[in-house]
Amino acid sequence: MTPKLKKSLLYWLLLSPLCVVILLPFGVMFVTALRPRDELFVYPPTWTFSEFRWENFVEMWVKTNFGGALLNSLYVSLTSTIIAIVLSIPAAYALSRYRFSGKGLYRNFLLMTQMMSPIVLVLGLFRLMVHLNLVNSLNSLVVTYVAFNMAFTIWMLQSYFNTIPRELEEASWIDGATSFTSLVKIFLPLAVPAMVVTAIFTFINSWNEFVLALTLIRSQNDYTLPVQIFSQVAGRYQVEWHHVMAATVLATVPVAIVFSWLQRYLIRGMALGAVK
Amino acid sequence: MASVTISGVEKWFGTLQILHGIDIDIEDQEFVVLVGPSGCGKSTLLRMIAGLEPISDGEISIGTRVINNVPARDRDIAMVFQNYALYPHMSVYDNIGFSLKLRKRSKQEISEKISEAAEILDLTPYLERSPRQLSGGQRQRVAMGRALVRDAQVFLFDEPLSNLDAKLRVVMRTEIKALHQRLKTTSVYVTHDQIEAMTMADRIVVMNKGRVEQIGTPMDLYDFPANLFVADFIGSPSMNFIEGVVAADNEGPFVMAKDRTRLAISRDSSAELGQKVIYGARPEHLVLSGGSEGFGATVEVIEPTGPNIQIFADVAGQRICALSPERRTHKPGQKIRLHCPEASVHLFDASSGARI
Amino acid sequence: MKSRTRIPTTPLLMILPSFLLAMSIIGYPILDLAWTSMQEVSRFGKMMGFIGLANFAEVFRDPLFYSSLVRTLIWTVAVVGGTLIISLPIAIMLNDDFYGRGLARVIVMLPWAISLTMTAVLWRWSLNGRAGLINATLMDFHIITEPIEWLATAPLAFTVEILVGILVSIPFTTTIFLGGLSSLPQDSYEAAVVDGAKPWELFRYITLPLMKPFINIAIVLNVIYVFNSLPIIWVMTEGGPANGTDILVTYLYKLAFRFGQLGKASAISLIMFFVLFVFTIAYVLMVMRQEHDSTAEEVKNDA
Repeated sequence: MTPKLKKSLLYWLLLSPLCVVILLPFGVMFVTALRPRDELFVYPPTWTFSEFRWENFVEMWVKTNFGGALLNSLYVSLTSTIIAIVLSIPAAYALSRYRFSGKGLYRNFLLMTQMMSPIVLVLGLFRLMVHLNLVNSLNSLVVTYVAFNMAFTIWMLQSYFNTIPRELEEASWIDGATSFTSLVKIFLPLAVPAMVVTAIFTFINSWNEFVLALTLIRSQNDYTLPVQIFSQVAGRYQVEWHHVMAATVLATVPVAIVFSWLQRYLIRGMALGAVK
Repeated sequence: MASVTISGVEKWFGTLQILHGIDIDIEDQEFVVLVGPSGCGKSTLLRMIAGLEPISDGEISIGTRVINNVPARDRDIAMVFQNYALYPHMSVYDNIGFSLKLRKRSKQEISEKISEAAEILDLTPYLERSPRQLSGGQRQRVAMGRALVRDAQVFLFDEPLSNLDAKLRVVMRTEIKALHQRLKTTSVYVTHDQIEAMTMADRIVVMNKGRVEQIGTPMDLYDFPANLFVADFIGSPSMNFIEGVVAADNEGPFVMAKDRTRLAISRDSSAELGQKVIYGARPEHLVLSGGSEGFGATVEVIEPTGPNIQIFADVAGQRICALSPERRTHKPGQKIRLHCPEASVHLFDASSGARI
Repeated sequence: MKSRTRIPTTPLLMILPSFLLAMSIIGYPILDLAWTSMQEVSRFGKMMGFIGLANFAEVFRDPLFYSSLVRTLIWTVAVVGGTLIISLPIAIMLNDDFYGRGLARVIVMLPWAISLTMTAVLWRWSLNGRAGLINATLMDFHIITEPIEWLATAPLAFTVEILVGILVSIPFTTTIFLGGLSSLPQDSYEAAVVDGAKPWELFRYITLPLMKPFINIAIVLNVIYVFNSLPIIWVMTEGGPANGTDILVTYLYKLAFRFGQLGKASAISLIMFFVLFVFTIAYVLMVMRQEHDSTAEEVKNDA
């Protein structure tokens, strides 16, 4: 046995308990989503079931207003991602390229906002949205998601911007470009991958957010997916678990795939960024 | 093409002064090299000429135009960066042509200019490639090509060869010099490598700690270094220094080293008796003497370099280096005598470091 | 002094929009909370007048506040501690080259991809006493004979919640450590190996000291995140049974949005804000020290 093979076996052995615990609920999710309703509560509980009931997904879609919640989630996540990126690009560019007084202060301010969790402020935010007459409007979520994500997007963009050599812009100025041309023709094309990665992470953050959506959205028609699914579970005597699990499959699997594909960028970002 | 005048230029970063009143006149068509150890301010000065760094005080003009407040794009200069700064998302062709495109030249003119530059730089087969497909030397050429098509008034070079391996550096050095002889564009070239400075420059500006130490032709600096810093910086292996006091006996004036070793100096020297001085002699001027001429030394290490043999020896408690073309083998510990012709001796005042 | 620092307006204009938004969405509610916490507030959010620190006094007389506070401490310490102890060896393994490393990374990072809410919903169902498949699995392996009601009693439910809390914190922490490990200088290891260090000694004398800043940052960030984490407990038990799994955030949420005790809830929010603030300052100082080191480095390299 080669040393590497030996090491691999050892590592997998060590990692396997964790892997099992991580994967177990996903197994539960799939087998529940696909089993017939009357096999949910059998005693003793068992993993096996009689048939793959794909209709569960269709039923769930119709009964739980999944489509509406999906659209709400898409609207909130897309809008807040776009606004967050648009507001963050100039700020990240300024932090990455200019020396100015107050820069350190601003970065610390951003760090602080990143630390402030929505839950501590949720009451104040709720009252703010009442004043602004935005309670029950999806736009209240858009605004707050942008604000709470901005520290992350600015920090992430800045750490990528720092890897784009300043000399490229300097060379373009000397070549006769104005600051604006240089930005459009040289800098932004090179920054596209960073912006895409950052946008996707922001999207996922907004997609997954729970506390604010639970608080600021009161009417069922405006629920986002996490709240929608939570409302199927909480405070009900009879929980349609096969529907809940079917909804969870649809809400998590696409996001999980995209995230798994992108996680190495996050690790790279961590290595480059403030946590250097 | 144009001259560049730098007068009384200062640079401050906050309360930290980087450049102290720099005055340099660069003539039209001249190739001037700014050289000095890292941190001496040479790159900052170049970036100020380029318009990438604001000028805190003083004036820089190109031709008759003061350019302090002219943005980089309007200074009519071209610059080659240390890391080449090629646009990674553009082909070699587009990299070279970018400045012309920005200046709204016709497609045909752009294409002609690029082919001409590519021809000069042997880049014709690579025009469609992207920069990351090129070798270091080729990238260097593209950076040159970008400067070339501009017909700029001044070329600026910021340590352009420092990322190349030693062999390629020598080749590119010659190419840049040949190019300058052909185009005659006024050039300012920054390097920390004194050999690059010596081989390429019409005139060298030696800088240290934000000040100009000396300006002159390469041979001027070599033969008549204005002070200890320049004497030490220019030349490789560098000049030997021995501390001592000026004395005289019936054979003439000499420098007496700490252990009373007698180091002969010229009768015409203006050094005063009793003055504390530093005696300087370049390794190639120290010759092995057969007789009683010169001074005694103890061989410590022998390093053959091929054309020469470097003899490191102890004189008056200091290690000095002598270059000998002879293949005679010396052994460590062996006593020898070294002699430096009086005309080749450099004397510096021990306290001010200035040439005597 | 001829120092001329121009005041550049461009960068300030560039940061202005993000600054204003953060100020109004994050800054304003803090002020509002401070204001509300000193008001008598009716169930329907109407301000009935200034009552000074009465709300705070009420909070400090409330036994539920203290039990939640204690549980918050247990929750934070247990989750953060457990996460760190598990994450460091995992990061070291994932940083090493072995067959299937890519797959292992994806699996370990998976909980991060799923929202806490969904994870909690999944666990709530998996742990269901009657039909949960955790019980099914344990019974299949004959570890237990009877199904266990995992979430029906407070101590057991809280323990389970802590374990889930650890599970979802591992990916982020591992990511920080991986970032740190990839930045460790390879030559220190080579030098130590040449000097005759064994694997354990490499870990003890090279990895651990060099990883210290990353471990510190992981501790502070995790403390902040875990201290604030609502969804796991809220979805799995809603702080119940009988407030037995309440931590400060769930208690705060109940006070504000179930019982309508807005003044008291504001007071707790403010107390939590100050706790957070202290940790945030600690974090900022830590990051600043690191940046100071690295800028010092840059300046040296520039010169």
